[in-house]
Amino acid sequence: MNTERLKTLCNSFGVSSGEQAAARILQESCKPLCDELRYDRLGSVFAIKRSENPKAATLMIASPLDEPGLMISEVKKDGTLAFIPLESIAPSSLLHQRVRILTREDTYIDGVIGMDKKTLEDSCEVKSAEDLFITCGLSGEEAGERIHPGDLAGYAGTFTEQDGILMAKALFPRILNEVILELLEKIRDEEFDFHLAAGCTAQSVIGYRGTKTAAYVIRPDAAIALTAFDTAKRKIQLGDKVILGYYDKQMLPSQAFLRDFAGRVETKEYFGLLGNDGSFIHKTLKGTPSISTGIAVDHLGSANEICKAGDADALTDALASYLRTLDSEKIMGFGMGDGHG
Amino acid sequence: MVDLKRLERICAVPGISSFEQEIGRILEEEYRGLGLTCRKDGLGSVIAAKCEDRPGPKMMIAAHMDEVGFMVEAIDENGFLKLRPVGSWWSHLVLGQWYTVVTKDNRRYPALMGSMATHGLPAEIRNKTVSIEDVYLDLGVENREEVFSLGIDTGDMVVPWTHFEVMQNPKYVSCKAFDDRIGNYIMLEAAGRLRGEVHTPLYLANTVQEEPGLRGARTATECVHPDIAFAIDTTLAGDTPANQNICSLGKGVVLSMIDSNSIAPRKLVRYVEGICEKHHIDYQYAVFNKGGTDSGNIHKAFDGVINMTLSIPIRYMHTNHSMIHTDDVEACIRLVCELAKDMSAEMSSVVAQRL
Repeated sequence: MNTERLKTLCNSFGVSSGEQAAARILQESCKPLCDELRYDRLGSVFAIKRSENPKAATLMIASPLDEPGLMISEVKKDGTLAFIPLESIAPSSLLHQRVRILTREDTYIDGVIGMDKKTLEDSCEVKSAEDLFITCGLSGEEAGERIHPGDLAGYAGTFTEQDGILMAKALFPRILNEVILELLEKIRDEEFDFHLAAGCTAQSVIGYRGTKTAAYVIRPDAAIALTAFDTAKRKIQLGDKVILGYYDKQMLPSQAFLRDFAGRVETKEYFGLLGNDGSFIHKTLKGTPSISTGIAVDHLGSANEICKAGDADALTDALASYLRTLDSEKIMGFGMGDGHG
Repeated sequence: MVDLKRLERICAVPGISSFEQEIGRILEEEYRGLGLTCRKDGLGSVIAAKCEDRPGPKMMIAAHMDEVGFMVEAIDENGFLKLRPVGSWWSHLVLGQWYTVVTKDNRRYPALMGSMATHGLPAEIRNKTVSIEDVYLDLGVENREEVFSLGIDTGDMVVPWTHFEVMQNPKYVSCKAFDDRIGNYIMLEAAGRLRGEVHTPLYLANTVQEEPGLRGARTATECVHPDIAFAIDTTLAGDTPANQNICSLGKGVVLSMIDSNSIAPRKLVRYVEGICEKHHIDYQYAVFNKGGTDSGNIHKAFDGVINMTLSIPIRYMHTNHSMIHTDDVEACIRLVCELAKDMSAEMSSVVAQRL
């Protein structure tokens, strides 16, 4: 686990549609590990490892590029900022979190989400994001000059690592991005008879938008969507290593692909509701057999997430060893047809 | 100057989702008259093209032709029409309003959206709104047979009764269907003002079926395959006692930063702001993600399209009488013209989201 690189990734700004800072780090890291980099017009970044096989199939491994965040909707005269969450984050989770606003000049202004209640005297119940606002300690005039409606804001957090336990903001998706980088490092000198496209989809967590456009660019024959699974409600816990999605509201995994993966990799099954990149990869174009896999995360989507480096390492190792069992014929075999006779 | 007679004509045509044939025909006729070529996509979107053979990035502007309305779902034995909403309505704003029933052979009949008697209503009924499933239209007839004799049948379209009003300040105008006939109007006016100008290939897509799910946006984008695109739609004004937000009638064309299905790319917003500043076009912002526009399906087509929505602030959207301000309309027409003239391969790479 390259903790330093993961820390840089987690601390970078990468809110949906404003992912450029995170994307640049990933682009630089991917360059030496692949044959080419491919992009779509929404900002997705994919590392392509080409095969010599003239009839090579394409396997896509996707992780989200964006982290959840907010958009400033109004700069009020008293300097407070109204906002809308870009993703469906529980509003009570936002109260008193530190946020970082990306200004038009590409500078950052930090703020805190609050409500018009006294923390030491009132109950501070949050019913909706409309109860909340951001304060930055700026006067109305200063705020009006430096911050504008449409500016994005992400969590501002401290990255810590203690005995393999990682705590940070944006572990989802950065731990998954890091797994892809480490996978590319691991297989760097290996040859496969299929093309591999591994990378990050822009505007994914907000609604799988870059997922669709990246799938259009990559044209995969099969896909693995990397995602994180929330440990709440005790279905899974940190340390469970590789988690395999059996069901979510947006995608039913390819049975053929799922069984093969589960047969070769030690996994813990997960039945959930939250979607992932698989949702738009599997039903875009002519249809792509897809599965979703990943690791357990505490407080998924909040300003402070926890996961284990050991789980991420297990995922990297599992993917590397699984890739070695694959070939183009097998990948094409997961598919049911391509629309032709 | 906004041509109010032409605007009224465009707004008056009945045309709910999937019933856009007549408004499509009228717009196509207008575009051909201006010398543009016209084609239709598989669902009936009317795509007018200008300067197709010129070098430069393909720019598409999209505005939807469908208005919100109803379909006749059933005719009861007493001649009352049960309705299926096509597009979203709040029943509170529908009861007691005049509507037009349009038959398959284009006969039109006024009908009143019925409501329960107000006298003696218990408080718990007064405090609620009727479910939109329970509204009914009153044609003022004796029975079902009379309805049939008018040529009305299930599946017929129902739209708000047209009433175009210039308000006390003549820049404020009210009518049905500004969402999104104002967009169709703006594109037509822009095409007229660009007559004789040479610019990047321009496609003016009058899309179908936006209200039920941005469907014509998908098919039109598939046909055009643009490099850059702008949807023109309406956005909620927040300048009344009932609604407050940063968007006001009369403050200019709106640069919509976000909608329920898309986010405006930063570089494109900066570029549009620059065009507005350069040509002294009044503009403002909206940050509202509870409503969608055609951009939702345009921006993520193919490998992605650089795309955002330009909006006209509107009061009382999805009611029989919305209200807009002609200064905002004029600003949007001018912006569309300047965008078409300024766009080039060089500009296109400036706004592309390249790392």
